[in-house]
Amino acid sequence: MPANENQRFLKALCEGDDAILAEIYQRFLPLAISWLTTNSGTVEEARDIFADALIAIYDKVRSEKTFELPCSFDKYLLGIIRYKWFDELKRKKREQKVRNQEITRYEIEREENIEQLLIATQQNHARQEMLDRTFLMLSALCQQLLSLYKEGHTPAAITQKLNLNEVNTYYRRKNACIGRWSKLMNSSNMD
Amino acid sequence: MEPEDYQLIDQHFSGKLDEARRQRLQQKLAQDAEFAAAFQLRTEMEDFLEKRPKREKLKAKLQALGATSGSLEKEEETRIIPLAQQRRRLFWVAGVAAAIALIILALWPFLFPTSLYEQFNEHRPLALQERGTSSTAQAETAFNQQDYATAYDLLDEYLQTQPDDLRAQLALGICALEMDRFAEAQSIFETIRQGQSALVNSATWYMALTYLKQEQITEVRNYLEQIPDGTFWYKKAQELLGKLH
Repeated sequence: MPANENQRFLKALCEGDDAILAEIYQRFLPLAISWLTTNSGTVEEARDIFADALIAIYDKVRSEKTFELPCSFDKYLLGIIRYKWFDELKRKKREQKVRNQEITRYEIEREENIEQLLIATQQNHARQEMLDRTFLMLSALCQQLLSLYKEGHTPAAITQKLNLNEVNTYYRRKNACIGRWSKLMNSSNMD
Repeated sequence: MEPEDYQLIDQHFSGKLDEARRQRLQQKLAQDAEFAAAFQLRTEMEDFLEKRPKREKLKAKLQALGATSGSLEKEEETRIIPLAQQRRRLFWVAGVAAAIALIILALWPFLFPTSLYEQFNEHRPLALQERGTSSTAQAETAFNQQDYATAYDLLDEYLQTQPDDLRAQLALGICALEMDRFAEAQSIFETIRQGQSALVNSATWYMALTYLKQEQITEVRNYLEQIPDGTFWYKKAQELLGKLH
C-alpha cells in the first residue's frame, strides 16, 4: 500500500470523511471478520473490535504532531485488531485458546517490525478510554460545565447557561468537578 | 499538594499566569513530583476535553457504518411471482399475521412480564438532613413522586451546600440509576460503599439494582451476596437471588 494511501486513510479518520470511512469498512472489515471468526470470535465481536481499533488509531494520530506509519494502513489496523482480540480473550479467560494463540501474537508483529507501535497505540487508547469512562461518571452538570469551559465560553456565559447563582459558583463548581475527575482517574490507575 | 498548587495549575490552563507565577510553576514542575503528576493529569484532561466532541462523532459514525457494512450473508435473489400467486400469498400472509397478532395479544402478559428491575425498584421515601427550605421540600417531593430528572437537579444543587448528607447522595445515585446514567450511579454507590456509614448495605443493594437494570446477572449476584443477614435489605436480596436464573 503506497504511503499516500496511508495518509489518505489517516486523514479521513481525523476528519471523519464519510466516503473514505465507508471505503475503509468495505475493504478491511471482511479481513477482520475472516481473521476473528477463525480465532474463536463472532462476526459481531469483529465489528466491535474493528471500530475500537479505528478509534485507537485516531487517538494515536491525534496524540502526535506528526505521525507517519512505518507499515501499510491495513497491517497496522489488523495488528491492533489482533492485539485487542488477544486482550479480550484474556479478559474473558478463554485461557487455553489464548495460550495457543499467544505464541503467534508477537511473531507476526516482530516480523513486521511494528510491535512497539502497536503497544504504544494500545496504551494510548486505554488511557483515552479511561478518561472517557471517568468523565461519564461525573454528574451531568459537571460534564456540561467542563464541555462549555473547553468550548471557550466565558465564565459569565456558562453561569447563565447552567442557571448558576453567580460566577463564583461556576468557579467553585469547576474546581469541584476537576477535583472529582482527578480522584476518579487516580483511583482507576490503582485498579 | 496545597490549594494554591491547584490554583497555580488552573491559572496556567486559563492563561492567567503572570511572569512571576509562571516561573513558580516551572520551579514546582522541576522539583515536586506530586505537583508534576497533577499537572500532567490536568494536561491530559484538558486535551481530552478538546478532542472529545470529534471523537464522539467518529464513534457514532463508525457504529453506524458497522451496522450496515461487511455482511457476509448473500442477498436473496429477486424472484418474479405471477399476480394470481401473489394475491393468494397475500391472503395467506394476512391470515397468518392476524392469527399471530391474536396469539400475541392473548399471551402478552406471559411474553412480556414486568421486568425484574421493575419488581424491585421500590425506593424508600426521601427525607433530607437539612429541612425547612423550599428547595429541600421540592427535592423530596420530586423524588417521592418519581420525577427523577427534577429531583436529580435539586439534589445536585443541595449537595453543594450539604456534601456530607449521605441520604441525599444515595438519592442522587438512585435518580442517576432511574435515568439510565449507570456509570455515574455506580460511582456514587461505590463511594458510599467505601465508607463506614449505616448506608453501606443500601448502596450495595443499589449497586445490585444498577447491574440488574443492565441485565448483568453475575454482578447482581455478587453484590446481593454481600448483604449480611439481619439487615434491612437482606430479605429482599434473598428474594431477588431466588428469582435470578
